[in-house]
Amino acid sequence: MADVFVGPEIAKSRKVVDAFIHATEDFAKMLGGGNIPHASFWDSLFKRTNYRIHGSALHAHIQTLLEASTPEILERRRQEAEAAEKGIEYERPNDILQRMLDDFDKYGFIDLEDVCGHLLILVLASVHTTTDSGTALLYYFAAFPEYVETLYNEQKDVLDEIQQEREKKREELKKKGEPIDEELDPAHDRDLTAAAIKRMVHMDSFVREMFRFRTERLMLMHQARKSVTLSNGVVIAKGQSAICNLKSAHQGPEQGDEATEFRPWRFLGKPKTATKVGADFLPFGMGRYGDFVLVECCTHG
Amino acid sequence: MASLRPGDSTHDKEYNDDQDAFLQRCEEEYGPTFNILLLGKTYTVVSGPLIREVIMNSDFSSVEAIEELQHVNAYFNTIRKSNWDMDHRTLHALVKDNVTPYLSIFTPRIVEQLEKNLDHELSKCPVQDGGRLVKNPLLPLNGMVGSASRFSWKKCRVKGQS
Repeated sequence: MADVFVGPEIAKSRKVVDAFIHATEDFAKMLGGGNIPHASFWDSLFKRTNYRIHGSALHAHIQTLLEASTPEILERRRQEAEAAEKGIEYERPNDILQRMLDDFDKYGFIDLEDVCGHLLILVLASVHTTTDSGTALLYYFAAFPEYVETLYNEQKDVLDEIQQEREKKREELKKKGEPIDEELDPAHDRDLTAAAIKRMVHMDSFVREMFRFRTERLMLMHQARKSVTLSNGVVIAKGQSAICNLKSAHQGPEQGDEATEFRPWRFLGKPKTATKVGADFLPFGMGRYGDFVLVECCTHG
Repeated sequence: MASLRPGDSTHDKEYNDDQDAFLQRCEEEYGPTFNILLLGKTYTVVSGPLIREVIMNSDFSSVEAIEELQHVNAYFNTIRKSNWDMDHRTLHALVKDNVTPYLSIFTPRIVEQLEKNLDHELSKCPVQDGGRLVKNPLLPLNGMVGSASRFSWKKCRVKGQS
């Protein structure tokens, strides 16, 4: 992911990659390292004050990122200025850091250190959630080995199918005497692209079922900013928190038969993909601003 | 407030013993909304269609609720100088503008890096050749996901006891 976030040049730095990995470990530790959190006014006050005065372990990682990215950003600026002088179009690096720099004012950043801070938060969110989901998936493969062969064969079949389609396209172009562009390079015939993954309906159903099944039953706590009366007349006072009963969402009749069991092909043939959240699928919330930003990183990571 | 099991002073233990049984008991006794003592505070549990009323309502804040327990916002604010709003609007926009639209481009790059790291560490290890046991995949996977193509995650392997 380092490559996608900061581009191949900065990602070559071992220090940067280590910073991303260690920052994610630090983030996991801050979240409690698997321990159940406990609300405490004094503990909360102490921690927040401590962060304000002493900062966090993330500071060192920001400095690493800043040191590694500054020369590369200056080089990019030089190349851009040179391209402008020559009147040719500057080929912008295709990474998230570049996009953040291009929209510096739009996002209200203060300086490069601030950009690096925001970038590291995105890294934390995406790496942490991808790792968490990936690990859970591995455990489900181990717990239900009887389904692995189907998933493996599906992946193989989809890649075979795509390879054949691409071969056919190349042959058609050859017949017409047209050049075969880089996009159809046979070296990429079996790449696991987003389009290929979309065709793997068993895998998608398995992933959605894994999320449905593993999700903690009480999640998505929300604090009332002012007193709110729900449609059933229950009042949640300002400062009071609600917590969502996901058993009612994930084990309701709309889930089909045996809702309390793990059935990996439950969503086959249904318009319910692993990334489609709704009232009956809330492992990450529903995406309103107030919902944690990890939602998108996790589903797409 | 939902009744407590004899000997319990909060609902934590009953919930952690059997989440489904606890919630079923409470739903049967109190319906779709009830109060419980969990994680050191009182929560109002909302069920079914009421969930949407809470999570789609801007009068509620998930960040502020999480902040009470885990201080994520305060932690993030140690490395950012702007955009301290409690709703993470800018982070949300950054993902929406810069990650989501480019997933089709990023996916093969990430897959390529993962495959390189996987091959580097495990080589080809089909089950018939004995496979290979990875006892705690979380940290090695963390290294794989976070790393670039040239990264070797031997260091993570030691920590992950694989």
